[in-house]
Amino acid sequence: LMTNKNLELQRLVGVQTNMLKNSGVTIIEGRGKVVDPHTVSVDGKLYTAKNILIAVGGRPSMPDIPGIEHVIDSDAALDLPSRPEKIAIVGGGYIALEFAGIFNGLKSGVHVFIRQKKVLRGFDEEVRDFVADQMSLRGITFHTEETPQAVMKSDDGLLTLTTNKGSINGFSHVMFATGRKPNTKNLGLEEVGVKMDKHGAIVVDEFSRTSVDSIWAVGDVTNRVNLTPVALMEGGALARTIFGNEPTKPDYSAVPSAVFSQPPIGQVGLTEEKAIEKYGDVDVYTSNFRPLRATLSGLPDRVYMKVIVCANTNKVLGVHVCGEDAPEIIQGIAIAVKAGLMKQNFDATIGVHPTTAEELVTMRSPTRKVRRDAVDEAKMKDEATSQK
Amino acid sequence: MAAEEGVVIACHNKDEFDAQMTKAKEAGKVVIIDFTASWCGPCRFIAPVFAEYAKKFPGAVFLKVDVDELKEVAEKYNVEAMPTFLFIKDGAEADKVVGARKDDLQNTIVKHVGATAASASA
Repeated sequence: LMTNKNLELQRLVGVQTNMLKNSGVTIIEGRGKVVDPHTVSVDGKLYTAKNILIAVGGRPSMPDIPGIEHVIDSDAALDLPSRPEKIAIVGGGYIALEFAGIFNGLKSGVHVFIRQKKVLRGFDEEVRDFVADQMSLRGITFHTEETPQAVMKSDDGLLTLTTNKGSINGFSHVMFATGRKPNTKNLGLEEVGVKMDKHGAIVVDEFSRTSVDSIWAVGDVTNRVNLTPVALMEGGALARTIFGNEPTKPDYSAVPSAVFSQPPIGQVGLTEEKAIEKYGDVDVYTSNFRPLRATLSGLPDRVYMKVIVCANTNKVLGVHVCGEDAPEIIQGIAIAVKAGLMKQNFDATIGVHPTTAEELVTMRSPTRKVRRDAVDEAKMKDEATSQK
Repeated sequence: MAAEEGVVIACHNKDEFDAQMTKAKEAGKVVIIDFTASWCGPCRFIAPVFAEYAKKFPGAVFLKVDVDELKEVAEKYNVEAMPTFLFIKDGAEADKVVGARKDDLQNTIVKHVGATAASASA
């Protein structure tokens, strides 16, 4: 498995390098540093250009706590020579959950520690609840509202993780998946006048231009939407802006994404919370069911689905799926949402039977209708009551 | 005519450039074009050196072209890096020096302009 992983990584690096060379790109290897608005230094040699693009991505970020040297990050977790017996994973984001699923699947004892009450901040609330429940059912232990304070190694080589709530010992490994931060150190950006936020992300305008006119930035280093295909889209928009005489803003509408947790998540468009915030009147269709493959086989697996519809236009604003094959399902649905299709288009689509995805075209009754006016009415009543 | 000898002539439009090229060809002179850009640091560094060579070799025509100003000229001669020094003899490209390399530039000028001077003498 390790050999195949490394071979695939080498293959992918080779493919991308060849693509660049075949496109006529000159590749200069070395550590780069921006010297002035038009100059980059690589290992002491200077290169000038009309435009400079920063696309250096991000790196795993770790808190500075005692014993941090015993901790592994997501890169190291992919290079473990043996299966962890018992692993603590700190972090509630998708990287933490994906690794939790991997190790749980390999029958490691898995404990996930999160600072917040729930996993996957920023995701649809019900998806957050559902995925945590399903992961718990599969044997993963969650420790919520716990902040790591120290990691200690005992004589037998096992690790103890101490949090604000206490200590748990006996871990063969402790992994931190506590986010990633932009890789902007030692690039010379401060000296040249490129503005960065407090997290080290490069601040860009809507065309991806930095505070220095000839320097641009795309991808995770700008901390906008940190997904590989989005960085690709941002790069394409920038190419049109700089070389195509066609100023183009990156388009972040209906961006699909997936979390390869167990069960996995696929989503596109707005969460329910965001949709209500933006549109007010929203119809929410949900389904929580056991798919045929589970009912037939006797497995306890469940699937959760949500379709969010604008009540005024009937446009589908977001779709969220958590369950087997959700990432595959959502790519097709993303085309529909990106195309701006309406609920009646979904309803008019023939289901593929017997599939889990069929559910997405057979939801007829909204689980709830959210109305902004209703909230206002309630407020008015409250005011009237208080006046009396 | 005398006024243009010994100096670098900056061309700001294609007609100007074409006129200079035609004149040089008719006079049987080598043309050395400095393709430059305002944002290019090495270009600024070597500009006074190029001007010095223009004085030193008055028998040749020294032109300067900003690649952003005269995109079509830069494209015609496939100029991709800055600075690029193109040597044109009898309307055809005779040589090229890429980068701010003083000695290479001088040696190449001597190679082409020296030869022309020798021919003139004969």
